[in-house]
Amino acid sequence: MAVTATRIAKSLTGVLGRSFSTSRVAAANQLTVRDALNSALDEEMERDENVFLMGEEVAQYDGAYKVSRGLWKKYGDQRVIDTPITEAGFAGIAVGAALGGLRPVCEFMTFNFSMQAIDHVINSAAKTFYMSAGLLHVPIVFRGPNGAAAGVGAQHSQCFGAWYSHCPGLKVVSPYNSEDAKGLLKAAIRDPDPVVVLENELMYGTAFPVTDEVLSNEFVLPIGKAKIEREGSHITLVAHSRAVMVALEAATALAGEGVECEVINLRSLRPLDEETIVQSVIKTHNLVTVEQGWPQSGVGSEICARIVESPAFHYLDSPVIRVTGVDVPMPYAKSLEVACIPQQHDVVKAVKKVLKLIK
Amino acid sequence: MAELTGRSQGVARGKGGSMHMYTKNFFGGNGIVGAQVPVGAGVALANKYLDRKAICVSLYGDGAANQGQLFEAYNMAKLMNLPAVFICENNGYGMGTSVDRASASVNYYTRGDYVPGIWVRLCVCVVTISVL
Repeated sequence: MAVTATRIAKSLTGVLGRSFSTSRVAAANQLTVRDALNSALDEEMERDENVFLMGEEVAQYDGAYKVSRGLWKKYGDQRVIDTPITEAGFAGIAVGAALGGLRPVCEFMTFNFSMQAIDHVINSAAKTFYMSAGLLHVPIVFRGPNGAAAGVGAQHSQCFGAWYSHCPGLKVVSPYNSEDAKGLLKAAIRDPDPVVVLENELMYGTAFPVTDEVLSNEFVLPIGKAKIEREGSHITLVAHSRAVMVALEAATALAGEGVECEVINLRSLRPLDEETIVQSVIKTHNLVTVEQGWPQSGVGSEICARIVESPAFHYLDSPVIRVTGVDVPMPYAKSLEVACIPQQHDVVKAVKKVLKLIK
Repeated sequence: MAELTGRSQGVARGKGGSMHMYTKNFFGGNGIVGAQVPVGAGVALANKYLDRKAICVSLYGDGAANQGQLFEAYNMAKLMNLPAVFICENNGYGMGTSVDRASASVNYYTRGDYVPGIWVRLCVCVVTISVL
C-alpha cells in the first residue's frame, strides 16, 4: 500500500522522540479522511475474504477520489471490481451478491447517482430482512461522497442524509473526521445489515490527529452513538459531517465572546443518538441544529421533533433554530454556493438569536 | 397459503405476502418488477466468487423485460461471465397492455443481444440444465 503520512510521522517520532519529553504529544499521528477510509477498506478486506468493493473507477483508476488507492493492486480483479456507469444494475448486483453470501461494499461516485439505484438500496436491500421475517440478511455497505462539494452544480450537490435516514431497515452513518470515517466504515462492513455511509468529498484531504488506537486494525466505532466534540454549558449545537467543522468554528468564535457551546457530532443519522442530544439540552437549555441539507423534512427537523417529544422540551429556554442549506438547488457560481451552505457566521447568528443576544 | 393470507404461520410470518416469499436458494419474490434481474445476477456473482458451481436463474415477465436495469444486468453478467440464466415468461400481456403496445421488439429471447437466447414455446416445459 502507498506510504501514508502516518507512517512518515511515526518514523519521525522515532527520531525526534528521544530528544524531547513532550514529543509524544507534539508528534501525534496525522491521518487524512481519505487514508482513514482506505485503511478501513484494506483492513476489512484482509480480515474477511468475502468483503469486496465494486463501483465506478474503484479498481484501475484507484478510485475517483483515490479512496480505494492500492486496493486493486493488492487484491485483484475479483475483489475490486470496476463497473460500467450503470448504477441501477450494479447496485442490484451488489445486493444479490450480499444475498448470495458475500459482503459487498458498493460505491456510488457520489450519492447523487444513488438516486438511479435507490430502489435497490431501499426495496431490495433495506426492506428484505423485515419482508423475509428475519430469514435473509443483506450485509451490504453503500458508500460514497454525499452533499455539496465545490462548484459542481445542482445535480451533484444534494445531501441524502434526510432521505436515507427516513427508512427503517437501513443504518445511516455520516462521519466528520478521520476517526469517524475509519471506525464507522469498519463498523458498517462488519454489520450484518445494509448500511449507508455518507462521506464528504471536501473532507477527504483533511488530516486530523489520531491516537494509536485509531490506527489499529481493530478500531471500530458503534453505529448509533454520537460524540460530544466540545463541552459547553450555554447552548447545544448538533451537526453531522462537514457541518460539525462549521459548528466547531462557530463555537470557538463564540467562546471569545463568553458563550460556551456544546458541540455534538452525530456520527450516525439512523439510529439517531437521541439520548445524547436530550441530555445535552437538559444541561444547556438551548439548541441549534446545523446541517448542509435542505430545511424541509431534514435532519434538524427530526431532531426538533424528538426534542419536543422528550423530557428535554420542558428545559428549553427558547425555540430551536435549524441552520440548514438554503432551500434552492445548489447554484454554480462560487459566491452563490457559499451563500447556500451554512457558514460560521450563520451559526453564530443563530446562537445569538436563540440566546436572545440579538433580535 | 398462510403467507398469502397474511397469517403468522406463513413463510415470512405474514410480513412478506404474495410478492415476498423466501426459502433456501429462493430469494423472493420482488414487487419491483425487473429489480430481481440484477439481484439474480448478483447471486450468480456470489456463486462464482465462492466457487459453488451453481447458477442463478432470474425470472421476469414480458412487462418487466423492458426495464433498463435488465440490460445493465445482461451487460455486467456478460462482462464478468456470470453463471446467470435469465428467463422471460411471456404471456402476451403486462397487466392490461399487450406486448406489441409495450415492446418495440417482442423477440424477448434476442433482447440479451450478446447474451445468447433461446425461444421455448411450450405451455408445460421441463428443462434440464447441466451445471458446469
